[in-house]
Amino acid sequence: MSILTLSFTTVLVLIALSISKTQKIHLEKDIIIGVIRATLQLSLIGIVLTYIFKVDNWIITTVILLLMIFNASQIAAKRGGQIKDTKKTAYVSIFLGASITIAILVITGAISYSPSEVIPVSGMIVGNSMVALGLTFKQLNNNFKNKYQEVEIKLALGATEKTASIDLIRDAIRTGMQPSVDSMQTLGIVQLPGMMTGLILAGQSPVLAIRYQIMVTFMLISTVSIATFSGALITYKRYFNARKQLNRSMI
Amino acid sequence: MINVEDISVARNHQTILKEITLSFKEGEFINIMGPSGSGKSTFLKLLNGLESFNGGVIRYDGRDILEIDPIDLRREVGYVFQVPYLFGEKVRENIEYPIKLGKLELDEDYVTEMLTSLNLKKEILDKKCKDLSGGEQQRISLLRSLMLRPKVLLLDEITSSLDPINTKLVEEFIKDIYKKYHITIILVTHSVEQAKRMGSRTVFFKEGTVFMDSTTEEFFSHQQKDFIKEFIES
Ligand SMILES: Nc1ncnc2c1ncn2[C@@H]1O[C@H](COP(=O)(O)OP(=O)(O)O)[C@@H](O)[C@H]1O
Ligand SMILES: [Mg+2]
Repeated sequence: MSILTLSFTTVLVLIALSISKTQKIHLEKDIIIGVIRATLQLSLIGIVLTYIFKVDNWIITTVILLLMIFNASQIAAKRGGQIKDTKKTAYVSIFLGASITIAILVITGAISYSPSEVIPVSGMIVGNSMVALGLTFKQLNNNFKNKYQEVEIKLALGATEKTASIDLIRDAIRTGMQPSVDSMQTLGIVQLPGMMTGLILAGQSPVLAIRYQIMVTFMLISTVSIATFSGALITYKRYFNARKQLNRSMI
Repeated sequence: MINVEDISVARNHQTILKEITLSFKEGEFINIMGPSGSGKSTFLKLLNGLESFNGGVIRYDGRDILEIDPIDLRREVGYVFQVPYLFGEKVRENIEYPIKLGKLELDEDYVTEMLTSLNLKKEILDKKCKDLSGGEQQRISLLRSLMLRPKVLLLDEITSSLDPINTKLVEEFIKDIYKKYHITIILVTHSVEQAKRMGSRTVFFKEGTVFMDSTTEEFFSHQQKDFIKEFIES
């Protein structure tokens, strides 16, 4: 696909713009900003990636990976509301999920620790963990707000903080993992994932593309489960104080 | 058995309890009364470590409460909340919960005996929690708090959502276990009539302080402070 052909596809944007305009949806400005940002950001990252792939230095690769996790944890933490230290928690949790998954992929030889393989793979798992962890934080917070009575009754019966809130914790992890599990079940029927589509369009054989996609699916579910599990298990403690009482400023 | 010395509680820069000093002997049956918002629930929760305090000391059996693991304390000092709340799907889960926490064996005879004095059939254990009436839920909540055979029982307006028949049932049950197991009972109540029927001592809270502490008989006698007279008559 040439740049010229690509520029013809802006017709698609014009369709969206005209719908927004004629139907008074008032998204024209956002659409234009979105188109410009997407084009600029992607072009820029294209240049950066070309450079990084060429240098092929494991330190730079690792720094990029840590930066991705950092950005993702800032966004996931927003869903945590007033919970303390969610940024740190999110960072640790996504880091844990991503590093375990990448380590397994590298050890089994599925990918090599080179920027052209690690960076795209990390982008996917970090992005998914970010969304999943955000959901887990939000659900845990809602659960404590709605069920603090149940938690307090269990404390009054002599339960530890963890036992008293285990149902809330499990529900929050489940909520975070659910979208990944759902999308895993509909892969190939409802959706052809972006990465596979990209590979096929770029001329790879569908069989190879699918093989990679299966790997991506497995690594997504593993990272998401590790990140939500770690996130919930660190975060529930914030709802209690040292005297094993509910932290009332949190509920 | 419980000594509260100079206890104060503040939340969000607002004083909820102010320099409370009270002591409760083993085997006493105490009523706590007072207008709503006077700090009764907060006080009760201090005694089994569900709330924290800002100043003073609470001693349980001579030991500073802050040096006791809250979990151990809560197993000896049971608490029943104002609004009955059963968790899980089946009623049985509620009864077994404290037992499993304590890694104990379920004493079937004890459960049967308690259910009988609560005027409940054994089959109720296999019912779904949501199918129980409010009165039944509160009686199960009581039984749940008694599964660990606490030495002290804190009851926070537990009959306030019950009809007169259920109230009577619960009152009789409490008096029964009080006699039988020599439990120390602290009962918060808004009902003057209930206070007369229950504890032998009555403590009256007003705006976070102890306004009066006397025998229940004296409390309801005629030479009374105006504020309490108003409260009783309202
Ligand atoms: N966590 C809290 N934060 C702020 N205020 C509280 C908190 N808990 C209770 N209060 C306030 O403390 C006062 C006493 O409450 P409470 O102990 O429930 O009284 P009572 O049981 O006598 O009605 C009330 O004014 C209540 O609004
Ligand atoms: Mg109260």
